[in-house]
This record gives sequence, structure tokens and C-alpha cells, in this order.
Amino acid sequence: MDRAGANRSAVRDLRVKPSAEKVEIALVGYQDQGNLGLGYLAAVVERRGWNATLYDIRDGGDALARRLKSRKPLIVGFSLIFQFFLPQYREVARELRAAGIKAHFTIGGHYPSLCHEELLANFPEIDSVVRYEGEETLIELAERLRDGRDWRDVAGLAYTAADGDAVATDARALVPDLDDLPFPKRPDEVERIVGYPTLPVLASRGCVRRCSFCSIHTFYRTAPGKVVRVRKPEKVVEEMLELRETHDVRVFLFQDDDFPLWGKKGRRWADDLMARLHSTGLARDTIFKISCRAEYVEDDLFGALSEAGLFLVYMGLESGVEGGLDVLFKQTSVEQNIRAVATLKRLGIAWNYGFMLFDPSSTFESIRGNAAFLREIVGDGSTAAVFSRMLPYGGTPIRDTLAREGRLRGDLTHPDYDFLDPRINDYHRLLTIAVRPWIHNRGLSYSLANSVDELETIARLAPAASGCDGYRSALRLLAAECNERLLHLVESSSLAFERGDLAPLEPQPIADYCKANLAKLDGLRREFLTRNMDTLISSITGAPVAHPVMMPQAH
Amino acid sequence: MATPPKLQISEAALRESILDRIRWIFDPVDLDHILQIDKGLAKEVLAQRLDAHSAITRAISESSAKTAKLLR
Repeated sequence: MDRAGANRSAVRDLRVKPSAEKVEIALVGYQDQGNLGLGYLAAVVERRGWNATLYDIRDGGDALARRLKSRKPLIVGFSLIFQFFLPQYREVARELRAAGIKAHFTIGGHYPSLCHEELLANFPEIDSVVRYEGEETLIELAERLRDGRDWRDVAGLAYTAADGDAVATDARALVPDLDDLPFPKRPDEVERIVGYPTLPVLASRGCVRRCSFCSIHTFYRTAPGKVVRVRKPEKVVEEMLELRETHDVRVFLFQDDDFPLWGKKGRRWADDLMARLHSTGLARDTIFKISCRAEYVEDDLFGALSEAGLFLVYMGLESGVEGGLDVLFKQTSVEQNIRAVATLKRLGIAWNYGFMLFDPSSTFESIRGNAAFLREIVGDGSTAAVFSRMLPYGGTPIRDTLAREGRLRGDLTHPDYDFLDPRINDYHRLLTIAVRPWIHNRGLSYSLANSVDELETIARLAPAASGCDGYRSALRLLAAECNERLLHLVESSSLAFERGDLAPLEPQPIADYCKANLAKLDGLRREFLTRNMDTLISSITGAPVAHPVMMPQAH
Repeated sequence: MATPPKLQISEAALRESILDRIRWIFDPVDLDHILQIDKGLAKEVLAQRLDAHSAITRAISESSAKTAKLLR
């Protein structure tokens, strides 16, 4: 940011006049599945007796400006998690300024917290960055602005000083007890999974691990205070009951960085949670998803969790070769990954996974090793084959390592790196283009995985639905065939590329194959859902079911 | 916080929502798939990158040859 820009920012702040009126704070971000980060901020603002309104960034600058003009917020707070959304946020902020919105613009989230200098230099419309957990900082910032006092010594902030330098105040300590926070504010409309109202919840914040590609631990370790904080089971269940009552929620998505199941303490916590889910009746008519590490998955605990409503587990498996797991500092083994998947299959719990076919240590051999691993876990079609490339996000240890090695590439919003074998740079680009009909959010793999998850949602919540077994078998057959085709493509194209043959990566035949199989999947899915439409409507709108939730057959 | 009234949805909207596909939010590290640019554009970018790569390789090769010559 230039000096003139910094001065304009300072002048703008002085224009915020003290007011006896109720403080209005606008919170802007992605609102998918209800944005829990903004929801918590809104809740603390409302507990203070002020107004907080949530806005979706995708509404665009014009629409937001029209709404903000009538509400005259004191602060517009942007929630930015991923740096590749930065241009979009900047465009919206620029449009708001152009439309005459004079509020103090602040921004929070992982990327702004960890890379505040970079952010301030590239986002001159921003007056301050709220770093790390923002609940207390936002309130103190708003009090200062409301009273017309200087806010530049508020802990937990960063801003651009008059000389153009970025200044960070003392980091504010993490919230010591999450149960001191009010329940997060929820959007008026909730998302639905096959018609069932669905909302995210949080049982904990923080992660004890230090995976090299992840900024979560850096985020929590850089601020003072306990890294991992776990809510009391009674408070988690109290919030779930409230959401069941107010929003008819039937599917809860635990968005913890790492669901707190580790060690004896984790087991006691889980036992308490499960007992409360059973005693309150939530285990009978609601289901939940968690994200956790592979090594937590074992028969006894997950069998009990399944009976309490656990229907879906997301695991960051990330690599199927030991070298990849080492570079990513996952602190797990390939064997643990395989064992976790086998346990979930045996228990009939649906599962998704994160997997990075490419990482900075990739060789053609490791790529084929990863493909073989994926065949071992999804060759049966229990879910879809999915993969991505590790990206060096801001605040991650691996970004620093790649920078030291001179391999960091790309730009601020799209960080990238060179592979050690330069041929893999080109192979990755060609493979990415070729498999796009498979691997993107509406592609064949994600559609298959989502269809499996939908089916298991129905199998749990609408046991009267007919044809579940037949549909499950058909999905599995289709997924097994499509997975094999994709994995064969990875293996054969990598071998061919090493020989200088690009023919297997010709995109058109792959696109045709995916289109045909997506049509097949859509047909199967629509037939199953249409046949069960009345059963589903009755299950969704009826009184809470009195009978126990049926378990789906083991995979 | 005051509890809002239960959400209402028409049967038609509910039928539609049953047929809607899930939009899971994946782990951050899995977002690579949504960053991909248009296929046509990607090809152009790739071609340019390969050109640039080739130019760099050529330059390195030429300078290496010159260095080798000097060392002899």
C-alpha cells in the first residue's frame, strides 16, 4: 500500500462519528453450510446488545452496497479463509467504497491472520486485519470506533501505518473456554441434504498435529493460549437440541479441525457425548458427520459412534506412499490409512477422504504408488476415487520449505511450486486438464461420492425407503468401474508420459466417458429418489420418528 | 439469543430440494479442483508455459555450452 493510500485510510477512520445509536456490524463471507466463523462473531456482537447481519460475498458489490447503505454499519467485517478468493473480496470492497460505504473495513481468517503484511499490501481498501480468533478483538474494535477513540493499540489487530509499513499489535490470546461463547448465529435458511435440514456445529477448535501443508496449527500456535479447546458435551448437545427445535435440523456436520477423539480423554469425552445423544433422543432421529484422523478409527469407538448417529467420516488420508506422508508430516502410515478405511467399511459408516496425488516429493513412481493405494481403498466402489495436488498456502511450513529451496512459484492468490522432476510439472498440467470431467465439484467422481453420501443419509433417516440395497449395489458397480478407469488412466498416462507419449491424456475421449457415466448416475439417482419421494417428504416433515434409526447394511 | 420460529418450506420446494445435489465443503487442501480455469484457456496457458520453459531450457543450455567452452 502506498503512503497516500495509508493516509486516506486514516482519514476515513476519523470520519466514523461517535454515536449513541445501536451499533450495526456487517459480516461478509461465504455462507455455505452456514459460516460458523461469522456465526460466532455475529453471536458475540448480538450478546453485546448490537446488531450483526450476515451477508454472502457472492451477492456482489452492487447488491451489498444497496443493502449496507440503508443499515449504515460501523464495521464491515470480511471473512477470508483461502487466499485465492482475495481478488473477489477486493473487488467487492472497492465497489462498496465507490458506492460511498464509509464503514471501517476489517478482515479476518486464516490467510489474513498469518500473512497480514502481504494482505495489507495487496488490499488497500482494508483498514485493519483481525488476527486469529476474532470474537473479543471485534468487540473492542467496535467500541473504540463507536466512541471515536484510537483503535490502533487494540490487541489482535494489524493495519498499515502512516509511513506505509504494516503494524501488528500484540496477539490476543485464544478464547480459553469455548463454552463462554454464545451459540453461533444461524442463517435464516439452511441447506438441505436430500431435503433434510443440515447445519454445521463445532465441538472443538485447534489441532495438535503439525501437518506441513496445513495452516490450522500455525494459526492456533502463533496466538497465545491453549491450542486445542474442547466444548463440554452437554453444551454441544444443548446446541444440537436447539437447532433441532428451531431449524428442524436432522443432519449435523461437525466442522472441527480434528474431532476430539484422541487418547483416553477423547474416549471419555466421546462416551459422554454419545450418552447425551441417546438420552435426549437425538440419536434416534438425527445423524452427524465428523472429520478426523485415520488413526482414531477403531471398531469399538466407531461402532458406538455409529449407533449414536455417526453416518459419515471425512479423513485426510492425503497420501498412499510413505514418502508422501513423510513430506506432508502426516505422522500416520499407509497401513493406518488402510486399516481405518477397512474399519469404516466393516461398520457400514460412509466415508470421504482428502488425497493429494501430487505433492512436492512426487515422482512418477510415487504417483503410480498413490494410484495403487487408491485402487486398494476404493476399488470396490464403496466411494469415488478423488485426488488433488498439494498447494503451498500462506502460513504453512511447506511453503517456507519450498521458498528456501527456490521452488515456490505462482503468485499471491495461486501459490504453486516446481516438482523435483521438471517433467512432472508438465504431466500434472496435462493430467489436470484431462481429468477435469472427473475431478471438479460437479464432475463424475464428486457426483458419485455425493450420491453415496445421500443414500446413506436416507438409509439412516428414512428406513422405510425402498430399494436402498439395490441402489447401493448399482452405485457401487458404477463407482468401481469409473474408479478403475480413472486409476488406470493415471497409471497408463504416467508411464506413457515418461516415454514421451501424450496420447492417453487426450481430453475428448475422457470427457465423453464421464458425460455418459454422469448421465447413467443421474438416471439411477433420479429413479431412486423419485420412487421414494413420498417416503422422504413424510420423513422430513413428520413428527420425530419414534423407532430407532436403522443401520445400513455393512459395505 | 431469541429462538426463531421453525422454518417453513412448501412441498414443491421440498421436492426440489430432495433432487438437489449435495454441495459438500471439502477440506481446504482439496479445493484444487475448483481452481481450474476454462479448458480452452488452460490449453493456451499451458502452451505459453511450455514455450517459456523451452526458452529457459534453451538459455541454460546455451550458457552451459559457453561455460564449458571457457573452462576448456
